[in-house]
Amino acid sequence: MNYGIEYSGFPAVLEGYNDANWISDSDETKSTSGYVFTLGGGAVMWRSSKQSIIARSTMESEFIALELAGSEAEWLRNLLANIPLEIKPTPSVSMHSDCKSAIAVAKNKLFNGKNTHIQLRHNVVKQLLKDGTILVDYVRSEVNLADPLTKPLGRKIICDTSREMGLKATRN
Amino acid sequence: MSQPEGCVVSGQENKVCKLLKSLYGLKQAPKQWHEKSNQVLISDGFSSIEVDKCVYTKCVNNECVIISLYVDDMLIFGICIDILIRTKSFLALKFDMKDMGEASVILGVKIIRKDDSIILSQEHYVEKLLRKFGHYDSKSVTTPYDANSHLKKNKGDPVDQTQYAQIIGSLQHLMNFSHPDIAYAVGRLSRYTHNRNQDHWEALARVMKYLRYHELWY
Repeated sequence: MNYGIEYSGFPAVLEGYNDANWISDSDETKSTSGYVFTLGGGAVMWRSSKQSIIARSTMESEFIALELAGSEAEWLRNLLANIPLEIKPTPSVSMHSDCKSAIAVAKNKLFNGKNTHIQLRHNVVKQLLKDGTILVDYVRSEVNLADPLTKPLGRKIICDTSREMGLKATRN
Repeated sequence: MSQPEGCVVSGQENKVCKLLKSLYGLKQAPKQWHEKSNQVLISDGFSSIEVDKCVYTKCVNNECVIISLYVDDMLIFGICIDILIRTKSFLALKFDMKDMGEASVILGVKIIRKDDSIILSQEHYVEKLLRKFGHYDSKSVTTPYDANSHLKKNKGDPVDQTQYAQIIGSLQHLMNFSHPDIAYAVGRLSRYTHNRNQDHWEALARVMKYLRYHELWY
């Protein structure tokens, strides 16, 4: 048997998931961002990293994660467009987030907050949405593949998301 | 410029060697190698793509070849076999090169081909890791990180720091290549590499036990 990431080639579209946790543990003041990109039935790119700035709310921390994943989506999309593959033209990368407020803020053309560092990220996401590089939509937390990259979770969710990321044991 | 200590030739103290070719391990060697490989590939009609300089492509009569380069490890992709063979023989002329045939391992990741899918696996690496750090016979757990372990900064003295750093390094490699499921646990634990205590050690052992869980499936 082999435990690894299996790519079946289907579906042949790039999809992104992103998530963040906001102060889940006692003496951590910064949140953790996480994102996963899947292509061809398996995860092709993932990351879990501590955020560099302090977020004041769940929405802010999710928004920071969205911006991080969004810029990565832009790079991945360019990479796919540059390699002579069958799949063309590259459609917008749909980014799945489990935070409705962050999605609403991303889709709003005006930014009502007062923090410059969040405004900067808002501009980046706004630009990505305007260019058609990414699309943002909502998924439930349980099916968000980036969920286990930001917080400790139970056995069932770990198992389900791992399978969705293409991680499975296969007989030789 | 002077002769290094211990290698001074008496009577010729002022003479030094002129380096004609950059050697392995020299500070300038990576740049020299990049320039050489880049120039060879471009002379064969390849062009590196905008977003990743290590990926080269070439298209002739709608038949495309993609080369991905990792220092001196090279993967050549293509649908048409003729053009692949031509590319390989061209490269063999220019470099002292070993043709490994159909790719089965790249950068320590095994490539397993099935009828309609491809699997990237690091099972052998996991096994080596578990054996090396004495977790091969431990009990398995189903999650990599215990939600109830509230890890804190260690205020006291570090415990067994070198081994902790070694394991973290190995796990990071594993996480980067084929195990997105342990990403959070590894990321969290690496924050305490400089000063860890017993709690962190236990959390790290849990990640190893989680890896053991997948080993047990067969």
